[in-house]
Amino acid sequence: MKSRLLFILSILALTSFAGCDTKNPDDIMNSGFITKADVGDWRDEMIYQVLVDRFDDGDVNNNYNVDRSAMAKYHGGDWQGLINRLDYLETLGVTALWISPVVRNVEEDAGFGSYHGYWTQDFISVNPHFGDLTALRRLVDAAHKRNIKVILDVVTNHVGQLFYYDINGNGAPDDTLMGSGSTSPLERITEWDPDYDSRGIQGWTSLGESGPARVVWVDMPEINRLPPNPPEFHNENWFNRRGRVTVWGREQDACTALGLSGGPNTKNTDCFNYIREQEIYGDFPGGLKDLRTELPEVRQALIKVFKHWIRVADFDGFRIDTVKHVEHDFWVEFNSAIRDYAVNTLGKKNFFIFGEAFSGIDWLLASYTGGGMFDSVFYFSQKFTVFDGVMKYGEATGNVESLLTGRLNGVDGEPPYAATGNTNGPVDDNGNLIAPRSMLVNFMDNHDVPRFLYDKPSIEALHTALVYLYTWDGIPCLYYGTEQEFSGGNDPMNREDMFEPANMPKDPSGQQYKIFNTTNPTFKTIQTLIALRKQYAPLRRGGVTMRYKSDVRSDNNETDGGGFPLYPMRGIIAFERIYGGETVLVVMNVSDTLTSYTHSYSNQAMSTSFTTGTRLKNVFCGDHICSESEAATYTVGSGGTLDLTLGPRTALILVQSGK
Amino acid sequence: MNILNLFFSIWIVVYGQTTDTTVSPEVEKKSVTNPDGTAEVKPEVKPEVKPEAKPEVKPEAKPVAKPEVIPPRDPEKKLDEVKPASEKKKLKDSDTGFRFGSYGRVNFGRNSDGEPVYPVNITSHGPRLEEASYVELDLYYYHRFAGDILTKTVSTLALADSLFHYDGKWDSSIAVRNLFLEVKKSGIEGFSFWAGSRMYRGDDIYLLDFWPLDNLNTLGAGIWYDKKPLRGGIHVGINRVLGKFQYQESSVETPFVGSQSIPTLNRQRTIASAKLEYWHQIKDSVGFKVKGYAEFHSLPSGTYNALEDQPEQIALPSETGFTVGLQLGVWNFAPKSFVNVFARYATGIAAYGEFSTPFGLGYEQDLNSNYSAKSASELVIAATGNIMAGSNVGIMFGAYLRSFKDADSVDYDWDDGYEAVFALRPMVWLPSILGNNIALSGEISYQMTNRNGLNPDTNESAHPSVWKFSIIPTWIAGKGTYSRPAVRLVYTLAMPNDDARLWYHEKDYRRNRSTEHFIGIQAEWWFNSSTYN
Repeated sequence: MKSRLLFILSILALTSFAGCDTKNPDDIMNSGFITKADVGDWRDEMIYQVLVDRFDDGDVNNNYNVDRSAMAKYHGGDWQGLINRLDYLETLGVTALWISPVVRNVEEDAGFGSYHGYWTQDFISVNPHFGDLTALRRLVDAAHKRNIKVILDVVTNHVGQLFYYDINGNGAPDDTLMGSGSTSPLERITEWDPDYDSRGIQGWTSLGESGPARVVWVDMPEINRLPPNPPEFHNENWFNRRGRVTVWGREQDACTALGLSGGPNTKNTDCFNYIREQEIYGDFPGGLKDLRTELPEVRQALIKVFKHWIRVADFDGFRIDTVKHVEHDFWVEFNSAIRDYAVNTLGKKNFFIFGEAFSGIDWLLASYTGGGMFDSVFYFSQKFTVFDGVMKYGEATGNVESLLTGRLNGVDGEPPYAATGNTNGPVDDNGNLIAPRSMLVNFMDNHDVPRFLYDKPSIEALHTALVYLYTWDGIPCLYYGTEQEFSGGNDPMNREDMFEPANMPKDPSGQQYKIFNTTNPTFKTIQTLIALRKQYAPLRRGGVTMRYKSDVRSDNNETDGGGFPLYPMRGIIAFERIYGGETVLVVMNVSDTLTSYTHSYSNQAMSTSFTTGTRLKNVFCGDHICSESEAATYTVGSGGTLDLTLGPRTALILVQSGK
Repeated sequence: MNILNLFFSIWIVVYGQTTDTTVSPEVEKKSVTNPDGTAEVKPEVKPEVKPEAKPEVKPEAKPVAKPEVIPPRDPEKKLDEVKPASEKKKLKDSDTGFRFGSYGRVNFGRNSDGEPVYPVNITSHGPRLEEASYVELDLYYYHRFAGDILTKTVSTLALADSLFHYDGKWDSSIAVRNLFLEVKKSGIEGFSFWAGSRMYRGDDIYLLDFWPLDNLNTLGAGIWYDKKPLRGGIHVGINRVLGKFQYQESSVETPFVGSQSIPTLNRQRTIASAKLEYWHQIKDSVGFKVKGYAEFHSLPSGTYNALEDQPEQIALPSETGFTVGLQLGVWNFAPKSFVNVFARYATGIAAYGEFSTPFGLGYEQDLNSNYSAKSASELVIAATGNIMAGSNVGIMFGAYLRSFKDADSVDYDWDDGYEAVFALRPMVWLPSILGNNIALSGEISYQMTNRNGLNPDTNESAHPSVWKFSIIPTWIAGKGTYSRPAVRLVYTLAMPNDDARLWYHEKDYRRNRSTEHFIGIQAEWWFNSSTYN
């Protein structure tokens, strides 16, 4: 009987196991790096920025605290949603995906959700709103199978609002304090987020100051406001504890009030140094506690946790947040260590690190490139100067050239963007390091600024800006939803849901497109531009030579005595990209209403590098690549000049006919 | 507490009236010889593979349908004589009246640090030795009418959670587990029927407190057939558990001033079940049965507000689910011995059980298909038995293997995976030394799970398992492993592996203990319990 019983149990066990739908998560976590050798020249990439919470809700089971009626709360997007939409991204032509931070956050603060991911509580756990680690890894693997790289958004400057300063010593996080607000226009200052104090936040009673305020960590598991993880971060000495930056938007006034000499943009003046001190040592507004990144142990801890993410999720690069809020030598140590680990330990060639220094000061941005620091930065000065000034507001196109000159030669006597790549940094096909100044990340908008169409509600203007984005040198980065003509204003209204039908543009008949449609004019325009960029190597890797520009506003309609435009070139931007013996000439008119010219009268001839008689054809037909039959052709005149007439908001991408 | 007071008032009156009829031999025998599949369970006993399904106290369950109480069959008798004696017995006027029954257990003890006993379990149905106290109080009223009609009303009050004498809290969690009328003798030979709120289930695995095949709790009605070698029944019932999958209230304005709550989602689950058993008696008193079982679950579509103060509505599609199962039973191959083997497969909402709110829902590109449980499935294969070797040695065993796949399409999902448990409990009587009522007993068990996803706390794969070893000297009312009442002195050594202990929060004192020692005392009884009828 005993043997029979054992036999029955054995059969049962075998039968049951055979019927189990078993998977071992180790299979996916140990599946190896799929594309470690497939990341080539980063100048070839088309980055697409995604705010994961807003892209697509692929898994309804992680919709914790979702409230789609409030733009500042979680909406349910997740990594599975991205996996589901890789077809869409591939159709658009995207080759690299920048996803918002993946780490576990403080859930909410003052009614705002951490859907964006920038309020770190746990550096080494995933944010459960977006899925689990296998879902993240599946996303990366699925993207890699399509040769789409995945870039992780990294925050090293600060953590979420994990402690408060007990300024009055009552052991409670007070919202109002008597006597505060003297150094800022704020009338209400909380112990979560008090004003900056160079000495460190000071305690205060009715009798006056009482010494450094005690730091109180919080244990509020219901909103995941807990001490940081890994546990070594649970150390008040690892934080600067000086309170929030208060000078933004009033830099000069702040300097004046303190009697500081110089200006906020003038290096080595008292005013500039004070602004920088606040930015580096102050808490990021919102009570985001500033890490004391100058400490060696803090640096090592940060290096360790972000190595972890490359190892477990196989990322191809880092986009690093709030770069200018951390001292330069941190970036040398951190980025060098990350690159060394990725390249020499994991064998991930061309790991790409680029930074976000939210500033229009060109030389400040440049100061973070090379020297072991960043392989690239977001080209904020271009965003402000070109995409805002020129593309939206009609400022002179000559500013484009000025910016280019500054990039290559420096501004205000400061060094230009680095001409030499970083050790272990991205290389070209020949294994040569790529200069940071040749692969700045170009963008027209992102999650921190109003969308292009909010400031400039003109599809035509958007399209010419897109031509510039995808033909200028550097790496184009598109903010999700641009292709669906989203037009949100400042944060959080610029973080619309891609899965919300009401956000979609309308077709010519007035009907709204379905979500993730691939037929609306802007989607097709971007698709075309990406295809052209892929087709013509000069658009990806070529150097840039300005060929034409204007020093007057693009809406200048002054005429001479004969009624001819006094400045026929207003609004014209023309430049060549040359690579491997091939040249592409891009010409656009960014004027909203005026036809402009490159005609060679009044000594305004546009010269090119093409020889006389060269036939050029336009390959850009808006929503498609021009066919041979429809491609307009042009003949280069004597001395390489080219006479063109461009209507308002039109653009040509000219290549040698027959190539 | 009003319900509780009322029940006790009735109980006091009834018990006082029926002390000399409740335990009449006829009724007692009748009650234990008709294992027609009725039983009880609390809602949360339904197996779920969820991250939160961490070791916890499950005080609700109790043994049922002990095959040892199946009457020995006389091989010389014809098949129609195999029918339970109660069905053949002519009813008497004296059958009319109240009866009382109960199942109960009271457990208490401590670990080596003086902390309370807790179940070191990592599976949906772990060994029951550390279960919390629980009691059912059954009140019956039999009424015999002219024409040989007999009806029975059953009211069962169940109490769980801590006892007043433990925590000083003058409160208890109570539930009405049965409230139904059964027409035992309907006037149609072989048929009985019932209607009301009822636990409706079959055979269990006592050691694991688990009903692996049929186990439903509904407001419903059913017909039972019992004649010759066949017995079986059909039943249709409904439930509507609280939770956004089935029920939601919203606040709306009143016609005048103010607000009122109205149900805006109120979809009932309809459950139909059918079971059919074939019983056969072969020589040497060995009997066996084959049982087929099926369930059908249905939910209409609905919508719910993701946020109760927001207008956004989420569509919930209509749902269905099926369960099919098979049971093989054999008994009397040795005295007081039996073995039952079960197989059960369920899909859709049936895979979660009738009281569970489905999780791991499917999501499709078509938004109307979101929030669907249609792709979920569960497979259970189980075995239980009791084997007596002579009159002084017995061994009980129970085991199951269960796989679960939720409705989403993610392969590497923490919700998905399988689990396995086995438990053995030998008992030995030494009548010459300890008499007939003292047994030496022990239990050994092993349980393990394998999830398809990573542990969300550690982001690593986990393979938790637990070994347990118990020594259980027992005073027991008779020489049989299922004899009751019983009082046990229990010592248990539990050994969770590292992954098992990771299921506890890092601040939980249990996380760092690779061994746990419990010692405690248990009293367990059942008599005339609704479980048996």
